[in-house]
Amino acid sequence: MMTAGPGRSAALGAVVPAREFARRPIWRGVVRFARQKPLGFAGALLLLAIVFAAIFAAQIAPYAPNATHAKARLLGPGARFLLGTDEVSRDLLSRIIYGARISLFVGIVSVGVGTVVGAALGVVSGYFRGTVDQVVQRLMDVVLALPALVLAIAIVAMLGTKIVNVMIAVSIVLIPQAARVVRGATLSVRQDLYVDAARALGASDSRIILRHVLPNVLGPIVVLATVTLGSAIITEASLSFLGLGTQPPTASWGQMLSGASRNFFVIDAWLAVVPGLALCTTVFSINVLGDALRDAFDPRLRGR
Amino acid sequence: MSENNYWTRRLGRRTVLRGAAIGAGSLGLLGGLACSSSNNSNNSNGKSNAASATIAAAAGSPAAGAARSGSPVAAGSTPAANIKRGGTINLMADADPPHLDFHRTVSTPVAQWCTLVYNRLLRYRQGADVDPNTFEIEPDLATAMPEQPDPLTYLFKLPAGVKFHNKAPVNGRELTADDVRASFERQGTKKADFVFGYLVDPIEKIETPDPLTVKITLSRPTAPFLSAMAYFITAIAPKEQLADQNLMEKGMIGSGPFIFQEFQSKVAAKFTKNPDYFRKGMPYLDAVTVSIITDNAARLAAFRSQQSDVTVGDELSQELVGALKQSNPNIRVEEFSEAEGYHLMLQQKPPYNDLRVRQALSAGLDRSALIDRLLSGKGEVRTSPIPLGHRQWARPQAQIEAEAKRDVQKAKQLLAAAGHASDISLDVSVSNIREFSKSIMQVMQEQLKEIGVTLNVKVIEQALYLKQEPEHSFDAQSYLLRPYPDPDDLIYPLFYSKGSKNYGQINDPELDALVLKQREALDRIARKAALQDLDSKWGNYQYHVYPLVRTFFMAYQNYVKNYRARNPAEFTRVQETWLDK
Repeated sequence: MMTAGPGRSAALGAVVPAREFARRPIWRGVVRFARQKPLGFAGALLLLAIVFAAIFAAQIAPYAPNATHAKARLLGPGARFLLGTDEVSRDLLSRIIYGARISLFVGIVSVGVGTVVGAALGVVSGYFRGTVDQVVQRLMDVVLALPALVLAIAIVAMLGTKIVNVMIAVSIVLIPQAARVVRGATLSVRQDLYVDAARALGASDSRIILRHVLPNVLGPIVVLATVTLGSAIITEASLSFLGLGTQPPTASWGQMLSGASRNFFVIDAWLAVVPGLALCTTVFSINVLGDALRDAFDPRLRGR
Repeated sequence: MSENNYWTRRLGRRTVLRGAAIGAGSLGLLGGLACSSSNNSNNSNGKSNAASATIAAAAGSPAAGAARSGSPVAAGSTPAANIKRGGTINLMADADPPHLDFHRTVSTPVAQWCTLVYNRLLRYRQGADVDPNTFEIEPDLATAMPEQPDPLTYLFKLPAGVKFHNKAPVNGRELTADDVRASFERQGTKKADFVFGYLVDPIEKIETPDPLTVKITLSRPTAPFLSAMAYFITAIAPKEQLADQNLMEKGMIGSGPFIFQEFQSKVAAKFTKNPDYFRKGMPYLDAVTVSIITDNAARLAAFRSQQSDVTVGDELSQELVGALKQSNPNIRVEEFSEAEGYHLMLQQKPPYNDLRVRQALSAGLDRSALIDRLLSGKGEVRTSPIPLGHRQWARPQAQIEAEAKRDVQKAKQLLAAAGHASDISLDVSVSNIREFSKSIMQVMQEQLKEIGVTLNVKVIEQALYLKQEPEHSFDAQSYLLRPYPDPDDLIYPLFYSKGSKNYGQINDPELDALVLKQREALDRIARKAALQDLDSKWGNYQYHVYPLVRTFFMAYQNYVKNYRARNPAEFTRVQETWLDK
């Protein structure tokens, strides 16, 4: 029976038996990860907390995100409003908590779509090489030639300012990165002996790709997805800041940094600091987690 | 000590002369103010009186101009003595005009620039001695207020020697009555994009018996006609330019105090002093630069860093004024009641062609809460077209406050009676450059949700927003009108069935009759009664839903002298402004 080949790092062809990973209990892996990569572990915990807040926003937030309050315009932090209020007399803390939903939702969906499409293109490109590879890679070159944010702005401008369109735009921006990384890994994997063996046994291309190549390029895909999640969240925030992303009154961090509130930054710095910190903290936690995962998947760096 | 004793000190010859000069100067200033007040009271009643105010009296000389405007220069000195000539004033525009053809755009910057480049026959009084909430008329190009032999005929006299700017194809030729006729004829072009045609619509005939006389005959009595002649857009342009669409769109050639130099879209417009301006000695400034900054925060930053000398739009609020004064105690801030503002304009299609639905929207609004949430209390509730800013015409605020009380139950009943027991949804278009518009719609959205109406706020590009209006391609718009000087401007073009800004496609013969009644009432008291009658009956129409009137703030750098704009859309008095740097 054909099985998945050995696990392989993104950078090198160093081989770690895949089943060895599978046999380890998860909690031991977590403990080991926390011990070896404390910063990454802290990032993971922080990200989990943010995800938890986003999921249970309705239970955690003190007020509805769009509810306005009497005699509460541009208040600083206090007992009634822990992080103060905005120029429309809304509670900043509640909007921050609900804003996490938008940021994470857009980020995760965009990264998911972008990575899946990019990985598919990368595997096909790397596995078949030749003309297919040339066509796919030149297409990726065209997309990469445009700055990511400019491309996202152009796409949203064409499709219209809807949250779905923002996700489409961010996904398209992420596709070439995934395609490139996965293509590189595929080129390496396709030369391994177990791929030759499968081919000699008469396995079809689709079977080889799905059963042997894909499982062995999953490592870099996971790392890439984690790393690009941060940039996806930033891109969504940038689009919202420019008025092209989420529309009022939907609470999103980028949108909280833009529009009418910007006029009041000079007298109420909290309006900028609160969403800015939320954005920074989330992206920071994702980035350190991504770094730690990359190290964990890379046998050269394991244990350092 | 004894030498410095005040009571025993001898008065020197110079001291006596200085005292006399100051006394004479103060008397002159008081006299000038008294005369101007007298002229205003004569002219403000909407009737055309025999000419009493002359251009010389209005602003014929620097001293007269400054004294008349009651400049905020050092008290006790003759303003003329303090005038500093030269320099460039940096102003701002809050939108990017699509073109410069002032007959064919509602763009506020184009109106602003018109008041720099062109003259009108008449103009609105402005200045430190003028209440920003009054709209009084005085001669501009005309030598005096027009003679009016009968209620339908107006005779305007033009001064000799007024020259257009020295630019091709006009090349500095004299302005004549033919140019006045050509200007009004083009303005009244019967096409949808000539949105200010309504101002000259009542004109039946324009005669020019000689090059310096314009005789205008109206088809029917029109109370706001003199106001129309003073309106920024009713500018007198040379007939050569009027005949050339390209010239109208790309440039401005007038007879006004400043010559148009260039307009760079989304950057700035530049103007330089007209050396041949017919008001000798004016303007005092060498140049005017108007930076186009559509972002509120950027405009505020420009003012704080003194890159701009005057604020222009929505960038100021009560809180920001406090902060500005803290960082720069010398700035001058004016606050006045808005003469117009944001409201909800509804398209007459189901379900909003049902009065009960419109009444429900109005009853569902908590206007006091809007003012509290959005303005920290700095504003007044509003339920009908004539805002508090039109002090001479508006109803007592107590009446409006009584109408403004929220009644959620009544709103729900009205909706149910109209067959909308379940939720109804309304798409509201909001311009991307109007931040207050976005804010007010968000709070209205929250309030109307309680009565079962879902407002979907659609923020769109300003160009697309403006395009929606003549195409009627909107359900509702968060509509902004700039402060118009006559209440007719807030009613006739919007609600009259054939009005040029009837974007909501209103066709209501009963309302038409009320609109025309106030328009044709030449007697000021009768007109006020007609206007207030329409205003008080607005609950029976509600084609637009009015939420509030803001307190409007304008800030000036301390070195900007003799400039007090009543209306941020008007730069007329920049010609009398100087910079004391």
